[in-house]
Amino acid sequence: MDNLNCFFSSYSTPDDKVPVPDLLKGKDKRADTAARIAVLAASNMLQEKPNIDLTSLNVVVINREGCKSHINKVSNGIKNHQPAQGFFVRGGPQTLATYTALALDSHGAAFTFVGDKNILSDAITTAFYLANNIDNGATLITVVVKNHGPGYQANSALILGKSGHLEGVSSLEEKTLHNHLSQAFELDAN
Amino acid sequence: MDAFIVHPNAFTSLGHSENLWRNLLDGRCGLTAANTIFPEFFPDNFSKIGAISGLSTHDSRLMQILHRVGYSLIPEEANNCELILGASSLGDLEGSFAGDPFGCIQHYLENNKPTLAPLFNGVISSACSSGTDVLSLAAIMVHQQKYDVIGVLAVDCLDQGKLLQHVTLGTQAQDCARPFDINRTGTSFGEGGGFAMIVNERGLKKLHANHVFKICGFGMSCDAKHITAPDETGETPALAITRALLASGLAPADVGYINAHASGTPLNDQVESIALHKAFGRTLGNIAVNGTKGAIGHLLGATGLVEAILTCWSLSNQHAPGTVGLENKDEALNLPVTVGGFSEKILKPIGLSTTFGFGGVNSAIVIESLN
Repeated sequence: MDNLNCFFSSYSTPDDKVPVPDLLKGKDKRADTAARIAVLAASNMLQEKPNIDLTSLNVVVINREGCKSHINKVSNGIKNHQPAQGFFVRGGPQTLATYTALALDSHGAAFTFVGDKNILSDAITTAFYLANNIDNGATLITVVVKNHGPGYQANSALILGKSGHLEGVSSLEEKTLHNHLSQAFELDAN
Repeated sequence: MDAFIVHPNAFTSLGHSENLWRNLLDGRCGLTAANTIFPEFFPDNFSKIGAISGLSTHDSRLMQILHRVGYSLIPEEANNCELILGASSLGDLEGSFAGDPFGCIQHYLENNKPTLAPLFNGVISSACSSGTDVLSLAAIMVHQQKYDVIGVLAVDCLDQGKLLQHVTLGTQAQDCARPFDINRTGTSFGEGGGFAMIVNERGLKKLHANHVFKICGFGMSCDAKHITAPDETGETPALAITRALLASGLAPADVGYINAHASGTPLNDQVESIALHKAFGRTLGNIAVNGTKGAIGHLLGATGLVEAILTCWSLSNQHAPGTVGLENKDEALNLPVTVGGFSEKILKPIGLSTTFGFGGVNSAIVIESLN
């Protein structure tokens, strides 16, 4: 724990009626439901650890489904030769990360790992590295899944890096982080 | 970084492997009019796209491309991989794999590359930066010695539905991609893929590889401003480039070649030029700069890996192919970009490849040829 600090939070919804996150007010609000969940989870996380510099925050999201509702609208439109470009540009899994960056006004890396629990360990490795190697060093990593009911579950961790190397990361810290994030997959409906 | 690229290879509308490289050096164009590829959907659209020839419009286009990429690009040595990472944007927009390139790649590997299928864990999604980012993230993992050998596979397709969205958005060129040209009107979307193995020193020994490229460093940033348009100030794209140089421990003057994103949209090329000037300053004038989208198209989620592979080939051959489609340079951009039909000598073995994507994602990777 010498080099890094990790903070944890969880967010869930009872159904798929997800409100527009406050952090997107005054900005582009047309995010798919899964991307809204990622933003709400980030908002929830930062309420628990509010005083950090977000300008260089890296955003890493893990999700298997992507933006299903937006993609379905695009696919249905194509059948009738109708474009749905507004949903198309907001239909990529990357929007779970880029909408979060937009909401937080953060300029670090922003990308989504599309995959299930098997990718988690690799995502954590990259999240740690980015926290320690980009500017002030912080990574927000979030797992977003559909739960067994109609709602969503998102487990997040905020990793604050303090040095340029990872040698000081304890296996206990990595295991704790892994356990917290992997709990979301236990609720995964897929 | 302790990270190297071996066996880089790409599949595009202009061919693959050595054939692709020869065609690029000769200044050939692999673009075709949209109405010849999708006559029912676009009977009157003559704008050019980088479509792979001979694909059915009724089956999964991404799956068909995976078959071509898998057959042509994945070498026997890939059996040494401990992890396969994918990169794509959306893949198909219709059918059972609509918006699910992960599912498509998984299905392909399970049925065609059974030894690799269990190693496939995920797909990196950062829009048109996905292919660059998969290289960078694989580099982190081998550098951290989590793995010694990782296979990275970037693929994407241009089905008729996706072209429809881009035509409506106005991002598809009226005629063809003309990167950095005064008359540029948009990009030419395309499809294809790339494969490479990312290894550390231990992986190099395992593979006995002798044609090697070093990943010196990478940089990523997000504009956090707009879902489609780039940051007009060029600040955050420049940030990705300067982060890549800083991570590499290199000065701008050490770079001999830049494979630019060079999409050919009026705004992207302008922003990229601002970003390059901010990051490189006066040294930019001494660097060979080109873009390849006028020859092979914009390969969406695969473009970053394919262009990084072309960066490797350009560095090892010490020549930057001319920028196909560029006829009348936009002098306001003040870039030392190679014009179509004329390749330029690369004087230093270090190159930079940049990509920018929807959502304001910016990625840059610095590669050195050790050959």
